[in-house]
Amino acid sequence: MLLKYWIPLFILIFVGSLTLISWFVPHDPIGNLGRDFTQFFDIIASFAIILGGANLLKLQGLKVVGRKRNWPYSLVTILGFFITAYVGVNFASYFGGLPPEMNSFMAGAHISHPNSHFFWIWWYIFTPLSATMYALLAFYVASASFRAFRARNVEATVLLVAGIILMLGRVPLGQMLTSWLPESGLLSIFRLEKLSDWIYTFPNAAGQRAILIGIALGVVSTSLRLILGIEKSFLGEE
Amino acid sequence: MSFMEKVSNLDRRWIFMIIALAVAIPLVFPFSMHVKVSEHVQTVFEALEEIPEGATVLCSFEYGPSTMPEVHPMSRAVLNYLMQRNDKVIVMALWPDGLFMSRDILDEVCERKYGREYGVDYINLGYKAGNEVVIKSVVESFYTTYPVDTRGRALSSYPIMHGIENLANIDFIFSFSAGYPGTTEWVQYAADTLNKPMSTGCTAVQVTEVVPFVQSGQCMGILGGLSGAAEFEKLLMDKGYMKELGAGNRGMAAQSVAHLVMVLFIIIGNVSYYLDRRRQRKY
Repeated sequence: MLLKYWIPLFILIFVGSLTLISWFVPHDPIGNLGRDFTQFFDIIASFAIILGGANLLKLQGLKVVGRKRNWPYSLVTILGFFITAYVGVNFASYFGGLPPEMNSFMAGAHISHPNSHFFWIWWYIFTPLSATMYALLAFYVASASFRAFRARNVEATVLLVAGIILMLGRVPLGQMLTSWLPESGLLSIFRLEKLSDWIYTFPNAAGQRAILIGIALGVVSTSLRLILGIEKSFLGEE
Repeated sequence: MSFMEKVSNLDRRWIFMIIALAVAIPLVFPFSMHVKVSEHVQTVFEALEEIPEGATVLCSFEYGPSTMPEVHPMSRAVLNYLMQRNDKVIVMALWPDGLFMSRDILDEVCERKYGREYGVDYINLGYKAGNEVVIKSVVESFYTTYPVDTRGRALSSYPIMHGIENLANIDFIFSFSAGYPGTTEWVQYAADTLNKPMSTGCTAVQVTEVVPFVQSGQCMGILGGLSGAAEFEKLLMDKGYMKELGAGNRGMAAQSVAHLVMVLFIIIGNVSYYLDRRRQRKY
């Protein structure tokens, strides 16, 4: 009970309150403590990789062991994980040996060196794979816009018209469609680039601002609930 | 089966092929397009012009390979501009991928193109886990957040870092962003709290999220998507900072045709939907 409940709760209330207070009272010792807690977070955040790595190995490993559907892909994932991790922690992992300006104790410096194995994996394997996955979206968006982007009701029609104006107003070929309209004066507001700017700046900004304020209020209330010990879901409570 | 029925039941592989051609043909056979500089891009340029030459600018890289075609041309154009003005550039990354993106741009622009010296004219602090907390940390101190740079040496050993303790000593913040953490967090945790001028270059889908900050003056202008990059390149060329247009402008033809094809798909899809609905009502 003490380890699983009271100590985590005490740490949360203590650290949360002091970090909040340090914003308003930046003088020492509270200011210093607030800065230290920020550093603690940076360190703890780095440990997330252990949790992430363990989770990946557990999920993919179970698929391989159980010979579940598409298990060879899981095997590739596990092999990729270990190979990348190995060249990542091996500070002397370079093509053609250790470069003269580096030494084998430089933790992390080899990662972004163009001759390192890690950089090679990132640049020649991860980059094309990641770019390809994202590029595929263009095809699905085109297919979806043809089949699902329909003017079924007033709201959908407004969305459709705004979408078309933005798509055309942001590219030169689209802007050419209304280039015959004057650059200034009353009619100029119907130029596609001006209409798209207007949509971005007014209706969009109004909606986004409402969302932002809503999120901010939610964050404030949740944080207060945590700091005051009302919200205890992180301890596993309902 | 009528023509419109055939169209509404079009195999999606045809759509994929048309989109592939719409993007590939303008890339293989490029044609120039007249790019018009928007107000947001003009604001970015004016904000950068307001800082004195030789100023220290912090560039943060928050994008990866997936958004590289969109954001990389912006970072290349902005770095070109900063190097032309002899500004000092401190680079950091809130995304792990940002480290490699920044390395690529710094090598290309600062080292090979302008022959600038690492540690004197520019420095790469690299990636640090922690999202917005990293921003909050550099507001306090660069040295505790990044004890060493990407080359594994202490920050204090570099001339560029002399007199730079934290973000308060920086003249301008520029965020190259493709999502979270990114521009929004830089505005909320750094630019706004320290009252520092900042601008951003971000993906087109992120523009909607950043515009409220631009409208309120917390973020000075915005380079939105590939078109933002193309506009900024054109502006730099008009002002004599660049000799030739870059990847942003080269990609505009492909993006223009692709957008036009998408709009045509939407229109055709809606016409067939309307006719189909009318026919159903009739019977």
